[in-house]
Amino acid sequence: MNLLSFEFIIFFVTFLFIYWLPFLPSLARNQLLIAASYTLIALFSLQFALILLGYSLFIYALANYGDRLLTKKQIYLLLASVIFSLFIIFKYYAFFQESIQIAFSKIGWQIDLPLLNLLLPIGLSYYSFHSVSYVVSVQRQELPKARLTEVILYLCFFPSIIAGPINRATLFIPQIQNSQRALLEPKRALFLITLALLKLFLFSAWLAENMVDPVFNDPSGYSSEQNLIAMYAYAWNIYFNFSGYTDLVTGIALFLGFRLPINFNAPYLASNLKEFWTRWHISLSSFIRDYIYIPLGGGRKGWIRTQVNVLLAMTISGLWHGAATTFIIWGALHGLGVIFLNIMDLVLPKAKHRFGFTAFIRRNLARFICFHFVCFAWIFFRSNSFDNALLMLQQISTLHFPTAAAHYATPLLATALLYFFYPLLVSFTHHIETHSGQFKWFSYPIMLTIILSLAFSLAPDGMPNFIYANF
Amino acid sequence: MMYNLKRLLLSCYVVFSTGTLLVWLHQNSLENFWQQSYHSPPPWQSMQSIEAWQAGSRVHHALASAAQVFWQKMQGQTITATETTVLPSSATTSSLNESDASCSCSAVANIPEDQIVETEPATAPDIIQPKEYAQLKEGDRVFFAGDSMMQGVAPHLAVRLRREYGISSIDLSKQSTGLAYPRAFNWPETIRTTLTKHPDIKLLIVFLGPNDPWDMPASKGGKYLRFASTEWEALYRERIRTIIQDAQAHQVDIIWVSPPHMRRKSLSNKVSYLSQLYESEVRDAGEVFLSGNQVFRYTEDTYSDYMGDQSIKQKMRTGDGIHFTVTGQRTLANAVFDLITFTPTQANYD
Repeated sequence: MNLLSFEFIIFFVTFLFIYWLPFLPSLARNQLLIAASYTLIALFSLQFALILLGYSLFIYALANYGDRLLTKKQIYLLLASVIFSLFIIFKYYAFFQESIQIAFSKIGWQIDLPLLNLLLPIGLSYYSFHSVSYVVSVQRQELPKARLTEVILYLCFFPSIIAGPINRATLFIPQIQNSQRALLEPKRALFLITLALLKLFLFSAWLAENMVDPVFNDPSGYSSEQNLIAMYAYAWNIYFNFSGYTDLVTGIALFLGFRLPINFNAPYLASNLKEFWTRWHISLSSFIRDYIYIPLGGGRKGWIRTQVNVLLAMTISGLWHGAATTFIIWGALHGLGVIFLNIMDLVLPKAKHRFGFTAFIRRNLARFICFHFVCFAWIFFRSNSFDNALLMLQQISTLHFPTAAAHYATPLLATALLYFFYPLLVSFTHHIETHSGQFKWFSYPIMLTIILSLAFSLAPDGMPNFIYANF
Repeated sequence: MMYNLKRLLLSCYVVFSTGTLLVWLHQNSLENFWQQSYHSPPPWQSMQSIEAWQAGSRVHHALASAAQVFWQKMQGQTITATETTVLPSSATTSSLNESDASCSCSAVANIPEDQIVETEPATAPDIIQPKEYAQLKEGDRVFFAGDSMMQGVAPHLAVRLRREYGISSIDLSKQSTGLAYPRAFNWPETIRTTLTKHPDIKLLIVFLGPNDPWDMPASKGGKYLRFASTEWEALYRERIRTIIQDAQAHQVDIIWVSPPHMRRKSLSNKVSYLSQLYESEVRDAGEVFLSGNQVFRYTEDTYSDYMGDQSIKQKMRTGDGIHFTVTGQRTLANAVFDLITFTPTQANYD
C-alpha cells in the first residue's frame, strides 16, 4: 500500500482511532502497531513479511541469548555474516553474477553461474541496519535487553521500514517502552505532511519529469546546457524527494507518538563535504560512521589508515544504495573528496578570520565548490550506466557560456536563484514548522488547502515515487 | 487519555476539511485519477448534480485561467480572446470523449479519401500483407508513444537511431498511460496532433498495455464496461484502429510492440489478451507487430526475470515483474531497431 494513496489515508485514520482508544495499555498499542506493520508488508508480499519475522526472531535470540554461547566478537561476526549473506542473495547476486560472467567471457572463459529469481524484501536495507544498532547497543550495555514484541516492533515499524530513516535502538526502543505515549505535536505533524506533499508532488516530480529524466536517459540527445541544467535539477530533485519522504514519515510517526531522527539539515548549505555528510541522510551517515568507520579503526590508527578507512566507509555507503558501478563510484568520489579535504587540512594553515568580510567570502566560495562537487557526484548516482555518466560529463565539458546565457537564461537563472535563496527558504520553512503550534485549528484547513491546491495544480500527473525506497 | 483522542479528533477535522476542499476544487483531475487507479466512478459522483459542488470546478477553472493570463502577460504575450479561454477539464474531457466515440470518423475527416485505410476488422488478410520492416530515410523522424515500459526502452532506441542513421526522435511516452482512460491521457488524440505538428515523423513506435486491463468508462459515460466484454473489446479495438489510421493517413509506418508476460499471473493473462488485440489490429492493417514474448523468448505463458531460454545470463526484468532492467530495455530496443530499414540519400552512396 502506497503511503500516498487514498487507501492508506483511510487505513491510517481508522487505525489511529483504534490505536488511541482511551485506557488502552501501551502493550496493546505496540501489538496494534506490529499488526498494522505486518499487514502493510504482507500486502506487498507474504514472503517479505515471513522473512522479516524470521529475521526479527533471529535478532532477538542473538541479542538477548547469544551471550550465553558466544563471545561478543562471535556475536558481531555472526550478525555481520547473516546480513552480508542476505544482501548478497537478495541485493547483489545478480550484479556480481553478471559482472563475473562478463569479466571471464572477456578472457575467453565461459562460466555459468546459477540464476536466482529472488525479489529484494521490502525494507531489508533499513531493518538490517536497525538490527545492528540493537545488537551492538545491547552488547555495549547502552540498552537493556528488550522484550520480543519490542524487538519485533522496532524492526517492523511501518513509517520507517520503506525508506528509513535509520532509527537508533537507544533512542527508539525507549519510545516503544514508554507507557505514557501521547499523540505528539499534531499541528506540526500536519504541517510536515503538507510540506512533504508539496516537495514530492510539485518540486521533485516537476523537476524529474521536465528536466531530469529525459536528459539522464539520453544525455547525447540533449545539448551541453540541458545536461548541465539536468545535473543541477537532479540535485534538487533527489533532495526534495528524500527530504519530502522524511517529512512525511516523521509526521506519520508523530501521530503514532514516536519521534524519528532528524535526517536532513539543509545539506546544500554545507561548506565542505564533511559538513555535507552531517546534513544529508544523517541517520545513514552517522550509522556508517559509528558501525563501519569507527570499527575499522576510524582516525585512531594513523593518518594514512584514516584515509583508507574514509574511502572504505564511503564506498560501502555507495554500495549500500545498490549493486551498480555508478553507486560505487559515487561513494568513492565522496571518499576521495573527504581525503582531499584532510590533505588540505594538513597542508594549508588554519584560517585566521572566522568573522568579517573575508570569512564571509571564503565560506560562500567553499559552499559553492562543495555544492558543485556534490552535483558532479550525483551524475554517477543518477545515471543508468557508467557510460551514460561519462557521456553526460562529456556533453557538459563542451559547454559554451555565451550560448548557455543566450538560450538557457531562464532555467539557469532559476537554478542560481534557488541556490542563493535556499538559506532563506530553509529558515522560512523551519520558522513555520517551529511555530506551527500557534496555528488556529479552525483556520488551519484553509491554509493547508491553499498550499496543496497550488501544488496539485502545478504538479505533473501521476504519483511521485520515493527514490530511496529502491535502495 | 482523552487528551490523545481530542488531539486526534481535531487533526481529523483538519484532514477531512482539507481533503473535502481539495476534492471540491480538483474534482475533475481527481476523478481522472480515481478512474485510472480504481477503475470505477469516484465516491463523490453522486454530488456532481449539486450546483454548489459544481462551483468548485468553476472556482478552480477561474483561478487556473487567471494564473495563465498572468503568466502570459508576464512573458509579454498578447492575450487574445481564444488564448484566454481555458476549457474546464470536464469540457475538455467531454470533447475528447466525443472524439473517442467517433474516433474513426473524426480521425479521417480531414484526410483525402484515397488515403483512408479499411477500418473494419480485416477479413481478407491476403489483401493487406503485414510489412516485415518499417522504412526510414534521411531526415525522417521517429515518434515513441507508450507508458513507463516505453520510457525505459525509447532512450536506448533513440541513441542507436541517432548514432547509426542520424535519425532524430520524439519521445512522448508517459507513465501510467494507456488506451483505457482517455480522460487521464488521450493517446489517439496526442498521436494525431503530434503527427500533424511534425510532418517529418515517418515511424510511430507504440509500446503500452499494463495500465489498461481493467473495466473502463464507456465513451458516452454511464456504466463502466467490463474488461474483455464484447463492448469493452469493441471500444478498445476502435482506439487501436484510430491510432493506426491516423498514422497511415500521414504515411507513417508503425511498429507496435506487445508487452511480454508479467510475473503476476492474473495481470499476465490480461496483458496477453490485450496483446492479441494489438496483434490482430496491427497485422490486419499491414503494419509491423513485435511480440515482447518473442523478444524475451518466453514460451507458452511462462515468465522469467531472465531470457526464457536462459541464453543470456543477465536479468531482463525488474523486481516488480512488469518493467525491464537496463539490459532488458536494450534487448527490446535492439529488437525494434532490427525491424527498421534505413535508406540513405544518394549523396551518402557517393
